[in-house]
Amino acid sequence: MKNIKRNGNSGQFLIVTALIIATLIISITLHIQENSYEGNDFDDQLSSTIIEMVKLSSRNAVLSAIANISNGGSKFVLSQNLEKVTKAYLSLRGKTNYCLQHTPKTDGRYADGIWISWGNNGFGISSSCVDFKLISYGLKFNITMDYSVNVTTAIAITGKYFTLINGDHVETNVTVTCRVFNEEGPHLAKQINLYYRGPSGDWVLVNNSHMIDYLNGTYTLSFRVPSELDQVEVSIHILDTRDIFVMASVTCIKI
Amino acid sequence: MKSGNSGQIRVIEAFLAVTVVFSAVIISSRIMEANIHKDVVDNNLARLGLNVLFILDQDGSLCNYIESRNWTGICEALKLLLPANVVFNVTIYDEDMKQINAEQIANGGIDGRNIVSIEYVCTNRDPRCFRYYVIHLCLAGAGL
Repeated sequence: MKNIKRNGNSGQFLIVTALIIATLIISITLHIQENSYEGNDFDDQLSSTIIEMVKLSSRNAVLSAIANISNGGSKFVLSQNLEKVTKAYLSLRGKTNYCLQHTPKTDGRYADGIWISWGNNGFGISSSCVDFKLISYGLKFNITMDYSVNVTTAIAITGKYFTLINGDHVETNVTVTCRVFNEEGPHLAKQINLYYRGPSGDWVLVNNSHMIDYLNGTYTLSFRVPSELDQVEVSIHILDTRDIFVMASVTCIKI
Repeated sequence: MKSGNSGQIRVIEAFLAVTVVFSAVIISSRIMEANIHKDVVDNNLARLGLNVLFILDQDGSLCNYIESRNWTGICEALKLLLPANVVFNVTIYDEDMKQINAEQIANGGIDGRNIVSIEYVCTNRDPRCFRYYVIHLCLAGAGL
């Protein structure tokens, strides 16, 4: 009798043990699912798209600032724009948290992320450079990434002139070649204004210049001055297709 | 007879115990598969939504639509770029997180479906005034 009872208990114990094992298996599976999520290719692709999104918005902030500052705006616009874009990512309430830190570049050329040099040596540059650090953490992936945004518009101009004397009529023919660049290479201009320094020393806007657009960021402008000039100084003011202003002046070479 | 019954009961008990453990293993694997499939579908939808908004944002057209309050334009652009079996609903907020789209930007109801929600920060390039908008895009895929 004792033997039978013990046998019966043994069977129940077996089923109870099986139930406990089953519960453990399911619990461990759920635990692994919830806490040990491993990233896969889809997460990598998703995170790379998020990185592109953040890069684009931070680039727009820098671009808007340099366009504003080069057109006469306050130099504080850059820090205001950067604060705004940081605030934008902090305001997101999704499953992923974003922290975007920014450090405007400061070195021999850049001061608080801005380098504007409109020289009389034929070279002019309007540039902004900011270092960013993106820290993103969420349920599925974490991103920590450093990147720089550089928005630059530069011009290089050269000029030459010759004096044409035809009887009593004297005129100076001037040809200016202007090359426009952005941070990646040749760039297009939206608006070009050409000036020359007149006999009185003031800059005179050239209204009737003849321009050749080579469609690769190179422009040749020619104009005539109805007098003889000992020295021809020209200045070019350019607004590029991103509304960034840059200017440069140069003394033309007599040919 | 008693001894025979006891043996049969033991076999049944053992069979039950094995069945319980195997059931747990099968249920666990199904849970794993279902969750992995759901993650893949969710990630695909999220990636798709982000990519579409990024494409529209790259040339500035997304911000132009928003600043000109052209909600129909956004809706039509999303219809063109998203697959036909994806249902979307867009809500756009300004810098104070106030909803600015007066009318619904959607191509159908997404209630009761498995919804993926993504957030996108859209910025303008206006030199005079830099602004940003937060876009909430809800996506649901039929048959995904």
